[in-house]
Amino acid sequence: MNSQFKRGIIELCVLKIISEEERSSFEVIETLGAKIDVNENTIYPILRRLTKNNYFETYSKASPVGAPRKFYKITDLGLKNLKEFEKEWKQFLESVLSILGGKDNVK
Amino acid sequence: MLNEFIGKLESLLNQYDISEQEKQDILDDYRQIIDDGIGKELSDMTIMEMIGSPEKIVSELGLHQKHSSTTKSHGGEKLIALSPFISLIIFFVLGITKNLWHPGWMVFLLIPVTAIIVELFGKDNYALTALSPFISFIIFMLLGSKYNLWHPGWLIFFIIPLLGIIESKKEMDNLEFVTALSPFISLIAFILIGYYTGEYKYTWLLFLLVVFLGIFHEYSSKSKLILFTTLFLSTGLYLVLTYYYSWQIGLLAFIIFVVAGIYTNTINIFINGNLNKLDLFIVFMSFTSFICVGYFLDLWEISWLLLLLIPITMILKYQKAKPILTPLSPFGFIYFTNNIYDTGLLF
Repeated sequence: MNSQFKRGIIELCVLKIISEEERSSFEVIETLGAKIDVNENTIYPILRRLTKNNYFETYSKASPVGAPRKFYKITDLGLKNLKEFEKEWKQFLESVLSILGGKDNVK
Repeated sequence: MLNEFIGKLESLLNQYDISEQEKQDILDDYRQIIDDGIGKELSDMTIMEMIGSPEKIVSELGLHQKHSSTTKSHGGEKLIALSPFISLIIFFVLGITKNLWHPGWMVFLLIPVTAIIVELFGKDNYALTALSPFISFIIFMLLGSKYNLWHPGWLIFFIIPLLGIIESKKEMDNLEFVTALSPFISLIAFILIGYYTGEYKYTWLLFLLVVFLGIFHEYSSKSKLILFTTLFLSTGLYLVLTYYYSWQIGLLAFIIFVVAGIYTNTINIFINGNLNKLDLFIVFMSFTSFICVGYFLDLWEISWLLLLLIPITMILKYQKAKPILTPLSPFGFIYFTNNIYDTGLLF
């Protein structure tokens, strides 16, 4: 799959994962890595970029092991963009599926 | 291993145009990710696989490499522009007055050399490394044409990577620096000693210097001890076996070191996907036939070709894409060149 295309989808997934629950970098990498065959190198840079774009805000939380951990929390701007991305993604997927002959044709 | 990761990431980040604060922020984030992995009792290897290589991380971060802000002087630009004409004049003067067409043509090297000197000197970006191809080429030509020392004169080209490493020293610690130099030093010493003494079966042991220094990078002191002990043991045994029997038998002594490497996890064998019994059989047969044909028929020169059965079989078995000839073509080339060599068409 085209790496730019894949990166866009991962970005959407990262937004979604953090919108559901505030998480640390490690948890995001762990959650995504377990579900998608993803190049882990890309996840942290995406997290960082989305934070720079004010889609996430970070805060520190005490950890049972070692120093306090940085947690990512989605902002209103992040939520707004997530909804837009989700909408675009669904529309795109429906169009692709209709070209390929509908859901039944995709295995 | 994880400390090395942070060190490597830091040295890579130093090459980019980011603030100290941002750099520390990224490093702290990765320290946290690693701590979390350790907290979950994941192995170093698993954590490394999860976070990826420092090089790829840095390239994904989309940072901008540091640039030197100084620009070349107006006089420098003029010199670069004039250098082709100056070279041409010198070339003709040398040729006509002294009949030095050769090696006088080398003055044309002044053109790129002038540009490099003007562009790079006084700046912190590998001026000597940039010049080294020209310096080594001139020395090589002089050694070859004046003293007929084409071999081992070509070794002079090793100053290119050597100067590259020397000029990168500030990015490495002392151990990394010596380790980086060691393959070239070993190779140069091996070729020179081999060339002048004709002795290769003991001389190649110089390459163990690379392995020896590599062991110093091992994190665990227990592994370090095991590896040093078995390396010395294998080397000693090799010397004894080679002296009394042959170097081929002597090589078997290094099985001890290889086993120690696998035991200490220094030598890792990664298998993507599942190998079935047939695959393992092919691997086993290839190695066995390589050793048997080499040892019993004394055909070491070609017996290694049997090892190519492994990649060829795996490509035929697992390559799903249609253009199967592309990945197989290098093996055909090896077969072809060997045949040509045997028939005397080459050289």
